Formats: sequence, structure tokens, C-alpha cells
Amino acid sequence: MLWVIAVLAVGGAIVRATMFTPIEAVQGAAQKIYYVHVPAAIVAFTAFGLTALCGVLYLWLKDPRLDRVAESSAEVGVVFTSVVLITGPIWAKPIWGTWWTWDARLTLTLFLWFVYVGYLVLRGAIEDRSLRARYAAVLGALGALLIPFIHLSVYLFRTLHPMPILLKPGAPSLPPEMLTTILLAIGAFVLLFAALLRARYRLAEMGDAVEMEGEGAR
Amino acid sequence: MIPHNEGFYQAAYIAALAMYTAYAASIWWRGRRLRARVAAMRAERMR
Repeated sequence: MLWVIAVLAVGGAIVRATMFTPIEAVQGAAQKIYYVHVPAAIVAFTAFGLTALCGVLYLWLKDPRLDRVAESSAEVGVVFTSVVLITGPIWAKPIWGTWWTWDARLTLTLFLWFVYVGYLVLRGAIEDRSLRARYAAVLGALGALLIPFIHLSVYLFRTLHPMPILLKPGAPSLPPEMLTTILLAIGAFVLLFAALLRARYRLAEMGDAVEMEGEGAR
Repeated sequence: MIPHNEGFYQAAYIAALAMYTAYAASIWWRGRRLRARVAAMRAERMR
């Protein structure tokens, strides 16, 4: 059911963004990339925040369900970060005249992606379940420290990346039609995140069951 | 004058949707493989 709601919500958000939201006068239609790029970034940061939180709670409570949520959230977060890293350059090319530039926000986002890809590789490399969960929890929690730096990088460094127009002190600086579209898109992609996270969690549960059965058979 | 760059946003939307779809498909495929493994392990134990 969650899948159906998420797919319908994402579909609705895309239809609204493409057909019922005005074209920005300076950037043209390329500005519509905003409605997939920004929600993906917000969801990715939320996903890695959840990985960090569950990692810290795992170190304290040693509950394997927390480790599964952390693992699942990290993987889904990597997918959303990949979308950020792909849609960003496609937006940058017509606006900045280049696909990529090594500015602080872009570079730190790429580092974040590498940290969590490393997190997933680390999990795959350790056989012992409790050791794997402990190491992953530490890396997952430390990796999330990059998130505030990424958000503040546009204030801390000289950068080509524009300042936030939504998540900033004071009211969002967007016309009402665009604001409604971006808020709907964020809601839709949060639903997609929830659906993917739940499906990935079930996969992790099944993986653990297979692993335990294998250990029992040995 | 508004620049004509529709191709970029269409490419970005297609790329994003393709990635989400591919990831959802990968979860489904890995789940199917795991379920088959569980069934094989149970059949092995029954023997």
C-alpha cells in the first residue's frame, strides 16, 4: 500500500512540476531540476542522519533491528545522493556552463557519497555480525558529521552553488506556485524513501535469517 | 528572453526516475534470490 501511495505521490509531484509550475524567467526550464534535486538531497541527508542515530543507539542497546535500519537507510541514502550527484551536473551545465566544479558543496557531497559507499563495502567485508554492526555504527555516525558542513558550506566558503532558498532562516524566497510544488515534491520523495526503506529492511531481515540458518547448519 | 534548455530538465528527470526504478527492482530481485536460498536450505534440511 505504501508503495502505491509513494508512486502516485511522486507521479503527481512530477506532473505538477512539469506541467503546472511556471518556468523560471532567468534559468528557463532547467530550473525545474530543482524539484527532483532538492528533495533527493533532503531525503539523502535524512537517511544518513537516521543511519547515524540508529548506529549510536545500536552501540548502546545492541538491538539488531537498529543495525538493520541503519544499513537499510544508508543504502537508500546512497541512491538518493547518487540522484543528487547526477541531477546537479545536468542542472549546472546550462546554468554555470560546466558539468562539475570542485567547489565546497559539490566536493563535500561527493565525499559523503564515498563515505557511505565505504560503509556498505565495509559491511560486506566483515563476516562476524556483531563486529560488522559495531564498526558500521561508528562509521555511520562519523560520516553524518559531514551533513552540517555540507549545508553550511555555501556560507563558509566562496562557492558557485546558490544559497538555500527553502531551508534557511526566515521565510522561503520562492513564489507561492513554486513553493507548493517543492513542498509536494519533498513530501512525495519522503514517501518514496519510506517505501524503499521498508522494502530494504525486510531484505536485511531475510538476509540475517539466511545467515543465522547457515551458521546453525555449520 | 527565457533560455530554451528543456532537454536538460527532461534528462535529469529521466535519470532520477531510472535510478529509483533500478534500485526498487534490485531490492525485489535480491529478495527473490534470498527467498529461493531459504527454500533450498529448508529442502536440504528436510532430506
